[in-house]
Amino acid sequence: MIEWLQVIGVAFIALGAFLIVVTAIGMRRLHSLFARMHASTKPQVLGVIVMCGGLACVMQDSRVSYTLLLVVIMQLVVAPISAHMLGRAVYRLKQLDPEVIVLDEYAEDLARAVQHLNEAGESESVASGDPMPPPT
Amino acid sequence: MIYVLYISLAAILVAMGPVLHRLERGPGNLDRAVALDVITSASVGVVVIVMALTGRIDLLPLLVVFTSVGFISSTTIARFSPAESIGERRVLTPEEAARTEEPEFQDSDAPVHPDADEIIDPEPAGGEIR
Repeated sequence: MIEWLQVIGVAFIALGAFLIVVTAIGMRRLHSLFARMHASTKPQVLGVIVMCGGLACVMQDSRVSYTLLLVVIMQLVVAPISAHMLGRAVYRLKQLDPEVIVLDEYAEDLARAVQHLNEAGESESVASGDPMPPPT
Repeated sequence: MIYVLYISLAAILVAMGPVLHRLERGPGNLDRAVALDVITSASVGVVVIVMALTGRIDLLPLLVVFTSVGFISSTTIARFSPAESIGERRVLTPEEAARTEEPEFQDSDAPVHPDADEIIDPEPAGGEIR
């Protein structure tokens, strides 16, 4: 057992606990869901990485370290997916106050996609002679 | 060094108070999903600290399980959460419940998720919006 490595590991674990406390304050004080998602990402990604690294430094066992590496990689793969799903569901179910969005690029993109589809549908219906209702 | 770990454990447990408050208040199901994510990450932290305190290696699978369960829970809630009207977003107080008598579930026919129709419908009206 290397003593100074254990000290570093405990410091890392304390840093992770600090991140969780910061997140709790953010969950209490922030008022829109996207802002709270921003706060909740801290312990999900950075906190898990820091705490697992700290635990690996404390335990100093290769089996433990590999499993912790698996946990970190899994969290890195999984956190963006769930955040994306949550954010998209919030936007599409319109559970969001529109005033909290400063820049809404998704709506512009959707409007552009609908316009593009309308143009494509018109040219297609002219070619086939079959009037097609514009997609909604 | 052990005291630092104890203080961290206490800090995490105290910090769960506001998050539980958010989990109870909402105001929507998706807010609760976010709070649940935070609680899952915090339980990972608690398990890490317990492992560092006691040196138990047998708790390692718990970390893997917590990670995957947190992902599955939030993704499932986001995917299948119905469009809920404002009144249904929180637990009503007794006065409000008495005033509204029978809560009307007007949105029960609303699509479960905007994507669900596109998947069920074999021929979308005019192409796909992705």
